Amino acid sequence: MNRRELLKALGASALLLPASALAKTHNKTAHVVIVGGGIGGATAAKYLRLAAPHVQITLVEPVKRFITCLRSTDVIVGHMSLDDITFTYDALRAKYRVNVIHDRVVGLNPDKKTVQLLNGKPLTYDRLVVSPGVDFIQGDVEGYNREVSETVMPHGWKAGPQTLLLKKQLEAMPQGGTYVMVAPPLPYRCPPGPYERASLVAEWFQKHNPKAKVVILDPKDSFTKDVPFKKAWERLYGFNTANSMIEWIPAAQGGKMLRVDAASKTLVAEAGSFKADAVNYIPPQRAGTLAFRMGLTNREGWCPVDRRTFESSIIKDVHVIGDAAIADTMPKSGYSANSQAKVAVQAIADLLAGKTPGEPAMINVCYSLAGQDYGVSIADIFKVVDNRIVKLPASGVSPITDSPAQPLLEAVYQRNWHRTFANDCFA
Amino acid sequence: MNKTFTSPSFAARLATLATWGLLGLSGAVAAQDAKSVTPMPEWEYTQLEQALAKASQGNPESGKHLHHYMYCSACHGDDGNSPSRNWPSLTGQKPDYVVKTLLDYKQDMRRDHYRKAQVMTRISQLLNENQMADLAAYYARQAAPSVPPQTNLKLARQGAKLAQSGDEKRGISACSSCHGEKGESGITPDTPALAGQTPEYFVQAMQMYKAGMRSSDVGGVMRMFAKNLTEKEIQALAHYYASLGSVPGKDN
Repeated sequence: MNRRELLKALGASALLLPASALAKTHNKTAHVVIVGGGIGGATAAKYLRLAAPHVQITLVEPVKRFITCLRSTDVIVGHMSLDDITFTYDALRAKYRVNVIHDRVVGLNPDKKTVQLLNGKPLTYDRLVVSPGVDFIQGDVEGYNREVSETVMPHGWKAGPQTLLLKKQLEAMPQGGTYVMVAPPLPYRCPPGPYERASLVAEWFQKHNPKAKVVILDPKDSFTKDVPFKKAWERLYGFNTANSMIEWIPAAQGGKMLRVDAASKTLVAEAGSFKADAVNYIPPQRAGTLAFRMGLTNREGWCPVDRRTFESSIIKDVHVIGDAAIADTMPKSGYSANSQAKVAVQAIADLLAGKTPGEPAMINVCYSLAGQDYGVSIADIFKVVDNRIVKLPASGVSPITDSPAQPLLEAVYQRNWHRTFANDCFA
Repeated sequence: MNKTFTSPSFAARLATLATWGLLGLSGAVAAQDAKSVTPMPEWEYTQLEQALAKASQGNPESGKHLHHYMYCSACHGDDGNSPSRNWPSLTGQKPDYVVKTLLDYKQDMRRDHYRKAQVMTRISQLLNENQMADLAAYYARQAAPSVPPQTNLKLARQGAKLAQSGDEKRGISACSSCHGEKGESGITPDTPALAGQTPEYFVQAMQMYKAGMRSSDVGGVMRMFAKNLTEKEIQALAHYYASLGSVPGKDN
């Protein structure tokens, strides 16, 4: 269904709306509808309540129990269970008076300011927040398609069944086998994620499959935190030696994919042909399908926004946050989504109160594990200059030191951070 | 290392414990912690004495290096004077107490502060006993922490009486009888200096004792006293001990 058809369908149903829903809203309590209950949407719901105690807040999310991508690699290697990264909307309902509706949004009428639900009645909004996440692009790699990703070559890039499928394939590998990861091109969700996963899989091999190795086929020549990651690989997995457990093949060495043969688990890259025992194919990404259906995306497949308020540049009164939004130098991370959600809802609270939103400052911190006792991190602070999000000089990445305390502390901080961050979003 | 607890004071301490009828109580108090599944390990006095007897005389210069090299300074401040309300200052602390605390962590005895204690547990597992003694010597060589800026002198005055005289009716002995007249030190290895300690950290520690969630006090003594203190009294004591810190610019 394209956007026009959707709007048409919505127009028809709008006639059936009760008169009260179409009444002017300016003399009533404002209603903010949030679509998508991931990190961005859940944070937006909670923090909007803190910023605007009297606003009516509705969150629409299809699933009742949300599984975060955060730490899902820990599930693959058996350090956490899916339950450890599963969250409910109970606190948003009980503590923050958010009306959580488990339903699917199937249409948007920006003129009437309504969203249409698959099962429920349409919702009329004063401001709409959309946090649609990402979806995958199949790309032009011959032999790779959705069915392959759901059977032989899981991405494990949305937590849930994909996570467990990849875990099963890792565990089923023969001794001395090869795990091939296909890393995605930028921009994609969780820039350090592929390299953390390669690290933790190598660590798992040390214990369970000591002669196995990880091959990363990468369409890029560098990646975030690559300096501390490669140092960790040298220290932990023999990187740059003949016995390295991790082999990283960047674009310059032929890391770009050409075709796959699912039946024989063979991947052909520019560098040659790789016979795998387990394949983790992380495809290229774009904004979540919902953003396309709502007409919020540009030609590149992402959502342009006013960087100070995250209001869509395409549709008025609709804000887009998280991975789907174009945020320039801000990476597509859960932390960024959380930070953007806070900025967007403060702007919404200001706008609803007739005030001009202020100048935001945003943060991103990414902790990754290169091993269970070895953390690497990056921290950035951002501000908006000429409608571009730029990094401030007060930013940094893990230093390389000879202190054993430094990477260990980062790993401990990582776990504490994860616990408090999940609470910040869902509790 | 400097053995500040000698046989007479150790014997005196045992006598105090006997007076309060506390011997053998520790296990029962630890059991109150409903959140921890396994009971927390605790010191026996003789065990602790033996462990500390093995510790060497620390080298403060090596301790200074370790303070930065092991990232202690990240939370406890450039020199051990904590810039954070969450973590304790270490300057002027008694060496025995620092070594004992690091051993507490190393042996995973400290599960207070929920999982936050894990930072110290993991770091102390990287340290050998000589390094612990070096760190202890470095902190001990410095003056007590300076009075934290958030110290409330009105509250401090309220705390002074309880600290100096205790409350006989409720079975609370004077804090100063173990922690020193000016909070400068204690008579046994498990009684720290308290002068200048960050009041928020002091309150956290007392709340952990009160809830039975911290069991690093040999024989459960602090848990016993803290149990009978009100939140208001804990606050007052925190500010009293904070107010006893060094005064910047004064020669200590």
